[in-house]
Order: sequence, then structure tokens, then C-alpha cells
Amino acid sequence: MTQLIIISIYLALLLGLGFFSSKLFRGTSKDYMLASHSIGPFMLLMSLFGTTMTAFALVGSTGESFKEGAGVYGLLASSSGIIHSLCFFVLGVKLWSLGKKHGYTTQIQFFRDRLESDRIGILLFPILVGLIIPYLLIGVMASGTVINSITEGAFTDAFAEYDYGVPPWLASLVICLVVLTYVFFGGMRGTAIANTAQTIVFMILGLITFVIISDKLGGLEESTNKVLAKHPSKMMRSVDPADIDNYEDKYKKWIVFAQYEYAKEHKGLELDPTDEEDAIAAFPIAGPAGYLKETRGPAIFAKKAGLLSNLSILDQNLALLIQDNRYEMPNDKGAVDERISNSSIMTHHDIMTFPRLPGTDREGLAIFAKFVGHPTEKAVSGKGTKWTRKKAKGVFRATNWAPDPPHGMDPWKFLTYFFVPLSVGMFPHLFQHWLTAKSADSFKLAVVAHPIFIMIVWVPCVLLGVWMTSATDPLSGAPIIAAHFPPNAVLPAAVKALTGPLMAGLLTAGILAAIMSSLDSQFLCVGTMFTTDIVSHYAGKDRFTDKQLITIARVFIVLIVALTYLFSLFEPRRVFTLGVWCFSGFSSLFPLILASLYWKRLTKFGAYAAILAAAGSWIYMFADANYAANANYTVFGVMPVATMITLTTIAMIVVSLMTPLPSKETLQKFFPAEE
Amino acid sequence: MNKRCGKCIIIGLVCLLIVLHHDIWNWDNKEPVFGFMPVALAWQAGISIGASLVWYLATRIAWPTFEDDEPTSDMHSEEA
Repeated sequence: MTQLIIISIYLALLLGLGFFSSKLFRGTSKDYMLASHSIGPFMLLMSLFGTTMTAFALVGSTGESFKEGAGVYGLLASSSGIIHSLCFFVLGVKLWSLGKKHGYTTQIQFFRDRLESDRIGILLFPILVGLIIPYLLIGVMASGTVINSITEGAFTDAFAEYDYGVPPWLASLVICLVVLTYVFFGGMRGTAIANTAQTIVFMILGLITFVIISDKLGGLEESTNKVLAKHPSKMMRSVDPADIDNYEDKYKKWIVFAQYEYAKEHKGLELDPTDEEDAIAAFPIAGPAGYLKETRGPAIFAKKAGLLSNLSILDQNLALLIQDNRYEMPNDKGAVDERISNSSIMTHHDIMTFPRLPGTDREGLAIFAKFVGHPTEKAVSGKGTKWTRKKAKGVFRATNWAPDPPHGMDPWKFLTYFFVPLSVGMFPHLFQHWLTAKSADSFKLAVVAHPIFIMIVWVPCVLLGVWMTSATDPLSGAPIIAAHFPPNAVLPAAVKALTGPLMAGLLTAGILAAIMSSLDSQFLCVGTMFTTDIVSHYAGKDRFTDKQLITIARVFIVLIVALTYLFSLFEPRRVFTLGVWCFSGFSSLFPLILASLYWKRLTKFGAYAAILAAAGSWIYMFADANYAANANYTVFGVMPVATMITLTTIAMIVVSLMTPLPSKETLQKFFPAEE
Repeated sequence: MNKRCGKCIIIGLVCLLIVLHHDIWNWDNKEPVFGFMPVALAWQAGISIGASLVWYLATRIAWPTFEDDEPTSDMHSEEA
């Protein structure tokens, strides 16, 4: 309950900040959308940084390094330090200058002017808004997961289905409403003030929590030594031989278990009760709730007694797929999927080409029903407390599914990840933030400090993710985060397990601060784009008063947020994977913004070709990757974004060279020194 | 130093950072730095510090000049 109270106080403070900034609001649409170009260096740094660091940076980076190891920092953090500042420097300052000179508020206004094409706005608007939705989704989804994990057990009777914590759907809804409220009251100025405050909050609380957690784990060196002993591959980007040996041993044992379970279920195998009892007693490891002893002991006995030797090759393959919850036995055995071989044993790689069936870990609730209850209630055994439903599902995954094969980081994939941070150049909400700057010099602090700020936030998160692969509870010795744990929940679970309620509540406020400091800019931006690029542009700028425009912006924002919220209720994806897809979409348009500022020869037809190539390739690859469900999707062994940018650039250059130059007036306007 | 020369230096340093970022020589190294930091992380944190220094230099020797005080045309929105 302490955590819930702290989160509630934090959200109330934010609302108060929204009311305060509404006092500074000058009542004009320009002040609402661009804070009247009044933001100085410090607030510009904090709002740019707060906007780019979202759930992706905290929840996503911890979860991803838990899965992939320490190399995750190099994938996106250090490259962002170079590329983000490069974008601020090369694009931001120049766009700010043009925006101030010609009165732009949105990217589309700039492109319409630069490319002498009104219709380019009609093409770009749905693409930009469409790409912002998955970006919003990351924040909305992550806020629900974090609040639910941290508030487990806060209610005595309510929300048993959600481990007696705030349900994710309710938490996400509250966060959306809070952000909407302070954005509505304060506009861009309120957003910039809230971003600054929240960025300070999440950086300070993040560092304090890191110190506390590392201390709880026995110190920095001790935490790392455990990883070196248990999962050395997480310390580097290739696979350590010890991890391969460990995996092969575990996988062999798992095959025996899978075959035994299959034989019991589908071949009528039944052990003699005495043999079964002896086999259980002989198995040395109890596992959670004695589950390993009860399942692995009889499996080993059956194998040794030759009771599994009559399984055909097809049966053995089916056993693996069914045990790993990737396939369900059809009623008609003749209707078995033809990809399942009946002539050779499928490798683990073959097995993994079948996606896991969603929601199958719910079986854990039935298996461990007697252990599940209110997380503050004493366990029946007297040892510890009752399990949460999440824990029951987690234990099921860890004890039933095949071990993850260790894998390194492909150097080509690592290299081409460099294209992902280019997205910053095309984020519409950053464009709007750039235009809030008081002067070009206001950018200097942001350009210099951004890489260091990224380091301050990402290094502790990545270290924590790596440590959590091998950290054990100081009292019970059990792993704090089990195998197959949902990556989005690693950070809140670690915080909950290793800090007290007060600190957990404060850090959750910090995580929410990071999430909300991105959501607010994105909310504001979609409203600005709609009123400026669609409503005012087509209805005429004098058709509506400033007050009416602000109302129209607010209605559109609510519609987009409602749509995003609905998406968040569906099956969640890995925050990191979804983020990379969303950033890849924006990155694929990077050649367009760069060329529009530095290449006179860019024509409107070249721009159309670039946009269509970017959108077409993104949609095709996103669908091919099963809508982000395939987290390791690559094209020709490299990141899809590399292919997208290549296609966009080729289309843009070829078509521009084949079509007539923009008018002399336009070239004079955008390239005055060179004309 | 003129701006053109400054820009060339910054372009060169950014290219160097990009090359150093792809630290293939650290791929198999699991030994921690300072006893706790994976080398894959420590090296890349160094790249972040290097990037900050390069961008600081950029603001000193390659920063573009703008006429900040030029009047705003307010093509699309008006201040009350």
C-alpha cells in the first residue's frame, strides 16, 4: 500500500504542476504549441532528454540486457549519444532557424514549403501519427506493467486476478488521464516544466535505487562475479563455452522430461506407484514447491527403464513442441502440421521456428493453485508468503519450457543498429521541442550533455539487467528473476524484491516520470499536427479562433490516446522490440529531412518516392516479423532499418534526379548563400 | 581557426567515434573493468564520454551562426 500512496502523491504533484503552469499560459495557440520560443538551454536539455528517454530507456534497457547481456548499451545508448546530438546539431539548429524565420510549428509545414507540395502533408500526416501510436503504446503499456508489479498485495480483497494490485488496464488509464490533464492545462510550457521536473526526478531516484540494489546484492563486484560464474555470456557479445556446456546439459534433461510427459499424456504410460515414489525420492533437487522432484525424478526413471524407447521420431518431435507450448496435439493425429518431421529429430532451432502459443503459461495457475494467494498471507508450509499469480506462471515457464540457447550478438546487426537512433531527426515531437528554443545557442548545452545523460541513465539499467540473470535471494538462495521472465517486468520485479516499500514507491515514481515525460510531448504534438496541418491548413487560418483551435487539438489528442489505450489492452510485446520498430520507421524517413536541408536537388517527386519507399518497406517487414512478435528478425542478416534507409535513399535520389528542380524562389528561400 | 576547418575536424572525430563504437576486438572479452563493469559496457560508456567531448568541441569550433533577432513572420499563428 505504501507504494500506491507514493505513486498517488506523485501523480497529484504533477497535476499541481499542470495547474501552476496554466497560470503562465498566455492563452494563444503559439504559446500552447511552442511556449512562444522562450525555452532556455537548461530546460531545452531537460525536455529534449526527458522526451527521448522513455519506458524504452529504463524498462526496455533493463529487460533487454537481462535477455541479451551487456552489449545492449552499445546497441542503442552509445550510438544515440553520437547520433542524437548530431541530429540536434545538424538538423535541430537549422530547423529552429527556418522555423523561427518562416513561422513553422510542425514538420509538415516545413515540408510543404520546401517541396512546394500541398499534398505531401496528406501523405505524411497519417504516417507520422501512425508511427507515434506504437511509440505512445510503449509508454502506456509499460506504465501499466510497472504499477501493477509494484502494487501487488496493496488491496485486501479487490483485484485478486491482478495479484491484489492495481490492474494494468486501470494503471495505464490513470497515467493517460494525468498526462492529458497537465498537457491540457499547461500546453508546451507546462510540458517543458513537467519534463524538466520529471527528468530530474528519474535521474536522481534511478541512481539512488541502483546504489541500494547493488548493496543488497552484496556489492558491485559480488554481483558481477555471480554473472561470471553462472551466465558469463551476459558479460560479452559472444557465447562463452561454459554457457554452451550448461545449456546442452539442461536441454538433454529437458528432452527426457518432455518425452516422459508426452508418453504419459498420449501413450498411456503409467509408472508403478512404488517406482514413482522411489524415483521422486531419488531426485536430488526439490525446485519450487518440490515440482522438479515430482516431475524430473519419474522422467529419469522412465528413461533408464527404457519406457520411452518406443516413441517414434514424430512422437519425439511432437513431445518437444508440445512441452515447449509451441504446438497442440490435433484431435485427428493424421492432421499433424507437415513441418513436423517424422524422419529426423528436430533441432532446438527448428522447434523455435514455431512461435509459442499465447497464454499457455496460465497452466501454472492450475498446477500451483494451492500455493497461490494474497502475497502478504503466510504460505501453508509456514515458510515465506503465498505466491502471486505471476509467480505461478513464471515457475511454470521456468520449469516446463526448454532452456534458452545462449546466443551472441551478431557484429553486422550491431553495426546496423547505428541507423536506429537516426529516428530522432524525424520525431515530430522533437521538431516541436526544437522550435521552443529561445536562441540557437540554447541548443549547445543539449548537444554536449545529451550523451553523458544517456550514460547516467543507461549504465545502471544495463548493469542491473545483467546482474538479474544470476542474482539470488540472500535468504532463500532462489533466483530473484527466473528463466523466461517477461523482460518488461524485470526492473519492477528487481526493485520490489530488493528494496523496501518506500524506496520501491519512489523508484516507481521515477520510472513513471520517465514514461510520462515522453507521453506528454507526444500527446501535444499529435494535437498540434492535426490543428496546424489539417484543420487550419484546409479550413483557413482565420476560420477558427485560438481557443477553438486549442479545443480541436484536445479532442484529437483524446481520440489518439483512446486508440493507443485500446491497443495496449491486447497481447503485450517486448518494449524494446516494439520501440526499435517504431524508431526504425522514423529513421527510414531520415534521408528526407537531411536532403531537404542540405540537398538542393531534392524534388517533391523525389520526396514522394522516399516516403512511399519508407512506408512500403516498413509495413512489409513489420508484417513479416509477425508484428514485432519475432524479436530477432533481420533482413539479409542486418537490421531491417538498414534496408529501409537504403531503399528510401535510392528512391529519393533516383526520382529527384529524373524530375525538375524546385522553383528559384524556393531554392533562394532555403539555400540563400548558395544561390 | 575558420568554421570550415572546424567542421572538417568534427566530421573526422565523429567518424572516428563511429569506428571505435564497433569494438569488434572486445567481442569475446568477459573480464570486468574496475572489478565489476563488463568491458562491453565500459568501452561503450567511454564512447559516450568521447561523444560529449566531441560535441563540446563542435560548439566551440563549428557552431553555425544565425540571426537570432530576426523578426518572426508568424505565418501560421499569431501571438495575442
